[in-house]
Amino acid sequence: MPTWFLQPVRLVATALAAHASCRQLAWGVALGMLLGLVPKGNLTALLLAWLLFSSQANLGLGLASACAFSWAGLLLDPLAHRLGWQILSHQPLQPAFAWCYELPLVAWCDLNNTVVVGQLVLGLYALYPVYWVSRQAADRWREPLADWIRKHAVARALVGVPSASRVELGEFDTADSKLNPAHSVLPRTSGFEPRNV
Amino acid sequence: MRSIRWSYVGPRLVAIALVVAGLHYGLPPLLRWSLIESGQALVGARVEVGDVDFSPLRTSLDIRDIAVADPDDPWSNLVAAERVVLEIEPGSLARRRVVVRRGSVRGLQFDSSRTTSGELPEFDRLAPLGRFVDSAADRGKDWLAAYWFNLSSKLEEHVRHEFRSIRLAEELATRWPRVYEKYDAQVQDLLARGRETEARIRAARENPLRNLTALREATQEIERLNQELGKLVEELEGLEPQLAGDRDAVWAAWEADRQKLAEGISLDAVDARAVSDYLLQEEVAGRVGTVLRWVERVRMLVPLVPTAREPVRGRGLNVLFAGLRQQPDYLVRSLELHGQGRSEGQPFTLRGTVIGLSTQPALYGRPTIAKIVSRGSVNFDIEAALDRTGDVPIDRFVVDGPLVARPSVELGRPDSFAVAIEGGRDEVHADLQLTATELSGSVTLTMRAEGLQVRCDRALAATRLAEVLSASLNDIRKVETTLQIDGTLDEPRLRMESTLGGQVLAAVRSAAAEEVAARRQELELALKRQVDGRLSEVEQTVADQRRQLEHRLSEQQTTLIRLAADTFGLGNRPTIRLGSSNSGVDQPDSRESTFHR
Repeated sequence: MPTWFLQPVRLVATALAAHASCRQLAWGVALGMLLGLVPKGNLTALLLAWLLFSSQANLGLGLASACAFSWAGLLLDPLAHRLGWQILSHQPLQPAFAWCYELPLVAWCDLNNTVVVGQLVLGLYALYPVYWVSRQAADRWREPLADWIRKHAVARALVGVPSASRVELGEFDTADSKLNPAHSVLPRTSGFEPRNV
Repeated sequence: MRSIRWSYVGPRLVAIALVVAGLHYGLPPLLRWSLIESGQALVGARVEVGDVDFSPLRTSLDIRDIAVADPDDPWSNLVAAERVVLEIEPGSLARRRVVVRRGSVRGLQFDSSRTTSGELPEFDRLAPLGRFVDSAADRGKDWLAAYWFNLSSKLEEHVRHEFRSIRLAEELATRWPRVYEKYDAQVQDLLARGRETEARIRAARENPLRNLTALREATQEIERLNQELGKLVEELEGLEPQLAGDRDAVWAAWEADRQKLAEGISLDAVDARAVSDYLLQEEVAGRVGTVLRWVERVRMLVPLVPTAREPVRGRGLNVLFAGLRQQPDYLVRSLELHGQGRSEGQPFTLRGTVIGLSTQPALYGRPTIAKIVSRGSVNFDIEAALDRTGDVPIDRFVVDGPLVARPSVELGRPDSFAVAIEGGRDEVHADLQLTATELSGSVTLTMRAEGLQVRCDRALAATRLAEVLSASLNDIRKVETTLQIDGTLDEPRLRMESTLGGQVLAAVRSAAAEEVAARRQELELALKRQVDGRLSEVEQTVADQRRQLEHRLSEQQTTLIRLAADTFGLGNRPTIRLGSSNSGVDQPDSRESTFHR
């Protein structure tokens, strides 16, 4: 049975139940939100994607969050446009903007576009609140979800064997969201190295 | 460093390096493909590109063996070049623009031949520019033959309508017979009355006493008849001097007409411009059409409507910051052109520069200037200024100097009338301006030759006209033609003025004048014969009618004498003398007639 389409789901489930810390999960959601809001096709989105992929933030949740917030960004476009216009048309900042725009590669960032700037500002403004809410949610719901995966075969099937195994074996100390090295029975060669997060 | 996921970043850095290397080796084919596709879309014919070399580090683009086919002639190239090198400003790429600081085109060639067809079937070709050659040439096809062969009939007609002596003679020939007919009718009337009176007298004489009144009335009638006869005779005698006077008037008019004939005959006015149009229109139309076709192609390369940079997804607005001057996306600051060619086996070289070539000239703020100089077997200077900075595009083209050597050419229709010019060099000066789609300007074409030859149909070739024309046109060394052009590129209108029409017309007039002079003597004799003939006719007719009248008058006279004798019954019969003012009785033998001179 082809399972490639389940990979994002497994990634999220694994992140929730078996692998990432709550902080990683929360940063994944926040950075994903920022990436999702900004219109694509410019260097700004590329840099944000680079930031998400190169950080320790959870990729699965980050991509899922980017996808979800892309749709939300369309709805927020009018607000973003007004916000961006207010910023970009601010007279005292015009010389600075003009100077920045003339710098190399800045023109590729589309930072003279009202929606790009507006969404970026909205995203940055909401970055920490989204992180804080996500952190609280992860702290509250990660344990019940892990239990649910452990108890239901369907869930395990969705999640996939390796992750399900790690949950059953209790590799993770769900109380403090840290990996418990003493409980790791997997060989080092498997790639699942205990590490501090 | 602990916050960096090196297991992720490391491989990706390697991947980026691979991408850069891939770009270095993979970008040139992509550029080659885009050059071909965009060139074909722009020109509508096949574009071939050899090697493309692009170095992101050096930011220079090197294109070899580029050939753009002619959409109107698939087996020749519109333009071809051995090598095109473009030095791109590095900073412009980082600023999302392509600015070529300096470029050069080497081995530039126009109209070179191809080994494969350059046609792209899915594109429409430019329509050939022959649309302003109208039917003037057809209308003028037989103008000379018609003019010359109608000359004789025109002269005769001119003689008939313009010469007074002919008209007078015609009038006399019409009027005099009628006069005599009128008198003849009167005489016949008198005769009839005489016979009637005679019959009454005879009847009355049978009983004269009873018919005395009738006899008296008859006598009175006889007197009346005699008076009328006498008057009639007087009038008839007065006709002769009148006829003589009319005859003298005709001869006087003939003398005047003879003088007029000596002064010359005004021939039909033929417009020199019409002659020029007939002879030169097709040849000039072809050349001007070639020039306008090149103008169309240049305009194709620099679009009339500038392309604008659109937002990628159409979300939001791109703000132009105060103090920031918007720059065009694509700009070639300077492009050098080097080329060569051959004309009639002789080489020539091309040098030129194009400055300020951009897809958004309004943003660039300056017109595109192109200067091309050719030296060698072909010498010309072309300067073009394409100003698209304003709302209305204004393009100006100035061409100076001789173009290619011209082969022998025949102007007009050899089956009717044509002028052949041997091969030589033409000087051209053209100044054309295009304001949006409105075309205006002038082209001056000077054709140099060692004389012109006449070609015409056999009938015309046998006349004096061909001989005179050949002699006159053989002295011509230069034909200057000025064209005023207006309209649009799709519908250009030409107004042509050329010295050739005037020169040909002058030769035709000279030949016609010679022909008229040669025929003047004939015309004089013909005129005199005609006048004389008419007058002779008149005199003959008058003489015949006079004789007839005389006979009738004699008869009338005899009748009257007889009537008088019968009335009075006298031995001495009275006689009536013709020519007396009153009726009178005279000696019977002294009849005279003063009618004959």
